[in-house]
Amino acid sequence: MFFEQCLNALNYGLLLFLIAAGLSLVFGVMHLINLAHGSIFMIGAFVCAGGVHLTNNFWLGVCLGVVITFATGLIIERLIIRRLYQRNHLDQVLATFGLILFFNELLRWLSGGVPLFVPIPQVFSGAIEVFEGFYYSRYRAVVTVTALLTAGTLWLVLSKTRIGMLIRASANNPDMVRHIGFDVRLVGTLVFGAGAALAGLAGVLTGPLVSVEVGMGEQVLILAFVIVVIGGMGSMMGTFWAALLIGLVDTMGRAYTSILLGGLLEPRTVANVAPALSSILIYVAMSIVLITRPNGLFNR
Amino acid sequence: MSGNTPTPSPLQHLVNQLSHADRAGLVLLLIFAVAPFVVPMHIVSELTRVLIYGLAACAVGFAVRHGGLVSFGHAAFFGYGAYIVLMARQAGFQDAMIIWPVGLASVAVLALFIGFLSLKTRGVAFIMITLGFAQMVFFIFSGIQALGASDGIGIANRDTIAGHSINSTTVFHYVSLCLTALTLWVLQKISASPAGLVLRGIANDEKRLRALGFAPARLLLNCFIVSAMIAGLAGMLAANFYYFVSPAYLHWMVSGELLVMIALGGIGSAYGGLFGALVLILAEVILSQYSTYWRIILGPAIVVSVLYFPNGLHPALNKVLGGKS
Repeated sequence: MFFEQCLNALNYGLLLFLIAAGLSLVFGVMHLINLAHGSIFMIGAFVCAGGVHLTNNFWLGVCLGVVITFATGLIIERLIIRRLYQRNHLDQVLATFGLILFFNELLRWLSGGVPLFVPIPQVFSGAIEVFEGFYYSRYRAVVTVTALLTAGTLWLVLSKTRIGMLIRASANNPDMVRHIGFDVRLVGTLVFGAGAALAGLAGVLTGPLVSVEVGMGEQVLILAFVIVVIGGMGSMMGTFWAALLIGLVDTMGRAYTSILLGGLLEPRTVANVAPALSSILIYVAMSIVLITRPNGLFNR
Repeated sequence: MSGNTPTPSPLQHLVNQLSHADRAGLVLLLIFAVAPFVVPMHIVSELTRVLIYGLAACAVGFAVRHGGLVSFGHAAFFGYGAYIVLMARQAGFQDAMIIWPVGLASVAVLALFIGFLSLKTRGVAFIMITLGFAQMVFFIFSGIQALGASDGIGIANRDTIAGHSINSTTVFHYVSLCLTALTLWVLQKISASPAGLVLRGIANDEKRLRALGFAPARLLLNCFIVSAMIAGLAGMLAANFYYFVSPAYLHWMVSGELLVMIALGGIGSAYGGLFGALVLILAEVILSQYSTYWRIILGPAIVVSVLYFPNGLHPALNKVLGGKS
């Protein structure tokens, strides 16, 4: 039971990292607060669900989800987001809030407001035996591995390649990068698109685990922001560890607050209080981090 | 001033003041005042809603303008205000003369707690920590069974004011209007006071003000508390307006909408929040007649207004009316 919760926490934390990574990149490089990031996650899940229902092919759904979120990222960056980099945070919040309204309503219209369910593909259904007598959902294991590989690739690209160097340089000193002859705006567009694709991938992977519905984006958006802030705005390492921390706090909170409270209160009260308490834990964690270290855990 | 300048007569003084005043804002208040005689009751009701949300938005705008405190957590105070009405009702109180002052005091205590801790941070961290505290309040009230948990509870009658009922749409509209006008007047007095000017300076450059010998921390906390109390007042009005209290008032989307309202209306002016609320709620009333999916228009409209009216709609409107911009 405990070991399974640990795996679930890892799984959840890594999915959260995929979402928060894009947010963190965009904040680090362009200093932009992008509320529409959750909507991209939702679009990924919806496109995948739609693709699976139309074509009956999970892989096509996955590819469609990632490609379309990438394209959406590029398009909104070119049309709207690009004009917001020089504006204050309030304008950024307002414009991207407008985008949330648009995407939510668009998908509500297209889907008819009904939650969609994505079946787990045949290959990944059932459970695997991790060790003697311990079974774990095969699909969750695949998600965990995929997310880990993606996180690893992201780290490799950012720290070991020329493109990664360019991105880090743009975050540090965009004027200098422009003066030595690189197109900083193009870097911005690509970073935004890549962040969108990561969120889209997270959406695609989450699809079979939950019901795909309008509003799923806002829930993860807040969590992703909490993670980015705890990790130290713009620090990728910080985002990674903060994502795992939040995944752990949230999963363990859900699993064990009711058990811990069970000894203290009567069952009916516990049933009411436990969910509220476990949801609060994340925000308590964030407040403690911010009050003691206003720049986040890992900020340079 | 040289001694031989003639002192203006009181009437002239008033005319002078009005010509410099915020014309668009005054026109707006005038429209709210005559509306019950002109438009049908269901529109009056929508206008009351504009006043309530506008009041809350003006509260957020005040904190942003004075002190640069972009609070993403004012839903906490708005919703807490609404719950005060419900809790008072359950404790057997119904008169606003008791509930509202005591309620405001308790909002101030909550704001003191949240503000004291949040003000250890600035900038994006401040946005997030206020959001975090608001989420805590949201989840706490969602978990209290006696207050309706996540479903909420209806209230049978509005509060009475010194024994007089305010159940009628018109009466409640005027109560909201008076409170809003009074609050805006108080806010303008604070803005013009020395403390208000220092706060404006802090919003501009906190380090410089500190170097000049001011203590920003305490002023900012006071500013945050005043702003929270106004949001709480709006919340109390909202509970009375809807005859209903639920955690929806505490949802972070409310905080988001309040920010949208001030940014739409114009961050620089005291009436900005009211204008933003008017535009947003009018858009809802009008567009929702044509389609269930009216937000598909509203979203892009907000984006366009950010891109092309960076200072909000109120300054643009004021220019048209010839007041100060």
